[in-house]
Amino acid sequence: MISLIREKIKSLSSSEEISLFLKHKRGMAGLILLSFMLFIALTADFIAPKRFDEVDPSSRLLPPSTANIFGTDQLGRDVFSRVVFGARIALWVGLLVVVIEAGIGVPLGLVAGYYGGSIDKLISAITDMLWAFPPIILALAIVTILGPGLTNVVIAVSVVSWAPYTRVVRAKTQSIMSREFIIAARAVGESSLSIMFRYVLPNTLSSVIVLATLTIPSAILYTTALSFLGFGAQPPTPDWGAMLNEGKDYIFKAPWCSVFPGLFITLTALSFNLLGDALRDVLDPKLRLG
Amino acid sequence: MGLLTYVLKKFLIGIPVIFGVTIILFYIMYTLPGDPIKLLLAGERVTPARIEELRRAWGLDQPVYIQYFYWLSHIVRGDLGVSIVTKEPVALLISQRLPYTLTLMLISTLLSYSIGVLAGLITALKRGTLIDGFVSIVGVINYSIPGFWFGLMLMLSFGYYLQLLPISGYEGPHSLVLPALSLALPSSAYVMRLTRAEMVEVLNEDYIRTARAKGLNKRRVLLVHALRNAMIPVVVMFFLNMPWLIGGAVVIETLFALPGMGRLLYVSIIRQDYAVVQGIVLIITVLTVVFNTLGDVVVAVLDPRIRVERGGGL
Repeated sequence: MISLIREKIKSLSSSEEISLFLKHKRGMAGLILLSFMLFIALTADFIAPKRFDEVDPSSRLLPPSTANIFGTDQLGRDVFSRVVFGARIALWVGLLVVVIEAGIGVPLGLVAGYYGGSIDKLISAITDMLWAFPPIILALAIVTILGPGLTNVVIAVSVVSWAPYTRVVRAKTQSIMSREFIIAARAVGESSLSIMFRYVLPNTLSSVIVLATLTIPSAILYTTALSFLGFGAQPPTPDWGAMLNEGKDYIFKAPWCSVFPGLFITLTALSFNLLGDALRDVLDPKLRLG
Repeated sequence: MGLLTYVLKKFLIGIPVIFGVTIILFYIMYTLPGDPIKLLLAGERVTPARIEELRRAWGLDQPVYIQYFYWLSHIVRGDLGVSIVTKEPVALLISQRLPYTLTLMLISTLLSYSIGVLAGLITALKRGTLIDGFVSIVGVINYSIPGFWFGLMLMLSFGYYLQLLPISGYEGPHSLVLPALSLALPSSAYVMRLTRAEMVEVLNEDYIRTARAKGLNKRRVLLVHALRNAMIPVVVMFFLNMPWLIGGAVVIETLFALPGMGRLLYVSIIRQDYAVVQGIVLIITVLTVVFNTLGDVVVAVLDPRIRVERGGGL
């Protein structure tokens, strides 16, 4: 899989796609915004003036100042430090959810598109059913069974939202199946597994990359929503959703506790949405997610 | 295939889906820890003989699959069980709260569609101009904003600083304004995007160019020929989106402390009142199937080609 991605990247570099992307203003804006988020996530230990769980009872609910640029929360913790460490959690969670989703959705799409017939009908029926169902409700049901916690929320969100991967990969696979190189591979007796993973999968990769970039924002929005309701990350984890859950009780007294975490969720989701739209325009303009 | 058979077939497909969900729901309830009879009695002192009698009365001495059919027969008759916390029938609890949720969904849909379709049309017609660029960027930002955070910010600005609207609880229809806005924000962006994409596609179609070339009135071409066809997917999205809105309503109703079904679900999960959770998930499943079927039917009525295309699959 990694070698496949490497090949893909090699074939992309110095090609016209790169120059197309570089001219995409919104895509570049997204990339810059995402680099900023990645930067603060990676260097959180150096940027944050305090630890995310450092309590200071003498400075509770202080408004933003030069000492605490985003203010302090109800336990006197530095909101800026918590937001910076929160970037780590948000990006990590987004990536993890997307990897699990693709891990479930892509193989199912390959199998459905490759074999067709009743296997395809069964997989498509399950996918359609899952797609129709409100993901938050399903994720809540799963969290009810598994119990609260960030890991369980990641599992719940991934398990309920892989449907778009199956749909996109299935459609791509179907369109590739009649191509000469597949017919040739079949004629020389390549195994089904080998055809699916060596010949079909690489051709679906650009769609999967676009899809992954565009589903990271919803992964982050769903996991923070569940943390906001109290089912996800538990205190003192500086998850942005959990911070909003704690901050909402002080919304009028100390609005900064709620303003900044939400702002950073928005900026992170925005960076991936801008980047994903640009990648779609460049790599796979016909891709539709609906 | 006639329209009527098509509609009938679509409704029939929904039945096994609901059936499947009831099996999953029952299984989850069955495996959850805790003795339902003890939970029901909640510390009341009764003799072991009375417990045994209740167990028989509720069919809990039977094998699992018999218990399932027993439970199902109650559900079919509209008996969703009793809340362990309030001792009220689940069906009553839900029917008291469902109207709030449906009203909230209706208002937010009206908002998101009027804003989204208008913005979509403007950006499609002014494609490539500054207005298009600006409105499109606002759209991307809108669906990057978490609805619950937007709700908090509305509470802070309109409820607290300006004191124009109630902050939480239900005091009358005006209590639904801020929640409806929070729920409408992301979906208005999706509606705008879809409207724009469809409109741009339709405007490039041959028949629109023909109509223009024939010298037909420009406005007439746009409104009668282009808009009508571009709106089909947008109308379908209206139905397919409804179940997703219920999901959003759970978060927004909880934030604004509205007495709707979404908040009831949240509260019941917290209280481990599983009979209520089960009932609400079941109702949401039925609503999901109904809205999806309606979506399919509307497509079939508006665009007869679809009936042939989608006839084979599910």
